[in-house]
Amino acid sequence: MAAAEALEEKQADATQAPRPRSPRRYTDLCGRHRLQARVQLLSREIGFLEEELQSVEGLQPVSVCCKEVDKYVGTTPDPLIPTYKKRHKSCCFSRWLRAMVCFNATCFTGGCSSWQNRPCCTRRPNGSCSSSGGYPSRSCCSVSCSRLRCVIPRLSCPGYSCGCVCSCSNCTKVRLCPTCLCCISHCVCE
Amino acid sequence: MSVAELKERHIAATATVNSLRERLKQRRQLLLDTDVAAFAKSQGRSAISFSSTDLICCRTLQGHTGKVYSLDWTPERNRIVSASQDGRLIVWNALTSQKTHAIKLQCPWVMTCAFAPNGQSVACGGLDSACSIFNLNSQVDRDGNIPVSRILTGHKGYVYSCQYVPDQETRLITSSGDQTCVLWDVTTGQRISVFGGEFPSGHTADVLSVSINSSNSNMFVSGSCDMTARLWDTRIASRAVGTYHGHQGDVNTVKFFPDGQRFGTGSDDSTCRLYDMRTGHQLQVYSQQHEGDDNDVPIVTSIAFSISGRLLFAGYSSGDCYVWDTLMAEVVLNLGTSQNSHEARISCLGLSSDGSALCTGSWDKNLKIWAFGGHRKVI
Repeated sequence: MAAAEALEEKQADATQAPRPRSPRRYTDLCGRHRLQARVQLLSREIGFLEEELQSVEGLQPVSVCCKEVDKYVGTTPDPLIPTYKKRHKSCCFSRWLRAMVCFNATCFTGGCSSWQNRPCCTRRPNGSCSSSGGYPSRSCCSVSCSRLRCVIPRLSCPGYSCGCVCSCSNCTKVRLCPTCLCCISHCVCE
Repeated sequence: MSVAELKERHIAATATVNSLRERLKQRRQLLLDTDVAAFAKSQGRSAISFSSTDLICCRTLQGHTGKVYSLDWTPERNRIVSASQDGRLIVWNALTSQKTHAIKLQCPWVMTCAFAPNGQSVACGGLDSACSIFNLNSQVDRDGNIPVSRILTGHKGYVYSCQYVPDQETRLITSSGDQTCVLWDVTTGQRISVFGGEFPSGHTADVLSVSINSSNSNMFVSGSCDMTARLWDTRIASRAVGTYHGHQGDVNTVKFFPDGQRFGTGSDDSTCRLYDMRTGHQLQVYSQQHEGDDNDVPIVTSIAFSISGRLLFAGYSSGDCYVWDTLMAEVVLNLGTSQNSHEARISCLGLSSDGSALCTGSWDKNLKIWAFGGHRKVI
């Protein structure tokens, strides 16, 4: 009986509507925390800026960086740039002088190069050489030649039609393969 | 501390920050004894001379039915992946112009894509705030689509840019509208580090671009709507290594200079700039006079350096694609006025790994490949 009464009391309590609490006093909690976080961030930023100010004291001027950029760009070959190698004036003079005194065939084996007496040679894609102008093809092709050969299809040489790129002093012009337009076909000495 | 006291502290701290920034600006100004162009001129350099047929459009890649937003080359084998408003990624063979893969995305609002270093996977991200990874060798599903192999979730805003860490198939960096960059482990899908955000100092606005240093893959630079570029060390996420000021608008694009010691930026303020990574110096501003009112000033959407660094390619919202001589700060060619040029905004561009070709993507739905078509002459 007592247990049943206790249970009845408990159930009555459970169904009783909760007494409303008096409303909490409004405090700007959200705004305060946000403001505090911002102040902390700004304090951190101040620290970083002070560090940076100290580090700027010992920095090299911009001209040093510019020199590094200039040097790097000048020493790296670039497939997208029309290459113009300017010969220095002193080099041109010495070449001219050699051309004036040099009359034998050894001039055309790479010993000297003259703008007026250059042999006209062509290195074919299969590696053999041909020449014009009465010069022996063997000596024509004995000049040093850096060979770039496309061995796999590349965007710059999709048709395997690339041959030799001559960077030797006797080469003044390199023709492009008309088939793929973007490919260097052979060395033409002019 | 009361709110009133906090407010006072906030005002005082803001004033201190502004004062320090001004002092820093003045100290740097004292070190600005020249710029790249003035130095090059003093060395007797002259601008690169291009004829109209020197850089030509070799290929036009057609297939997207919406604006092209992003592209990336493979490190080898001359393939390109592109992302478009049509909700697809397309993988192209750049030599033959053929499409090798067309991936229909679950979320069509894609904004960025990237090739994995081994060329076997592609990543993309966009308005779904996630980065999806696709293995190109996967079996297609019954609809003929390549299934997604991993989704990298965690960003609280759109993913605007992504790049794989060079030579690391499992590491990827994303930039997001939630003001952070994240370094991911693609294998596990977990975030390794978060750069920026509410508590660690970082960008204070959307981050639009990232570029990882190929000479030192621990370093990357990001560009943001807060008008700055920031340099990060992936091993130290707590703060940026450096912050680079100067731009007057959103920094839409960043790209490391080939020597790994400098980087370039492109912005809504219509300029490109070259910064020195180590010293923080602004080395050069690349700016062109534009006709018309200020509302028509074209924004720089994308940049890339040629392999030597001598050329800076910059795509603009006007459809122009200026080729800047980096040393002389002059425009030496405009691919936007060349034969077969794009007919709308250039949204993205990138150089092939061997430096022999440039690919541009545009809102005209096409991609174009440009390569050298002129003569090489030794004087």
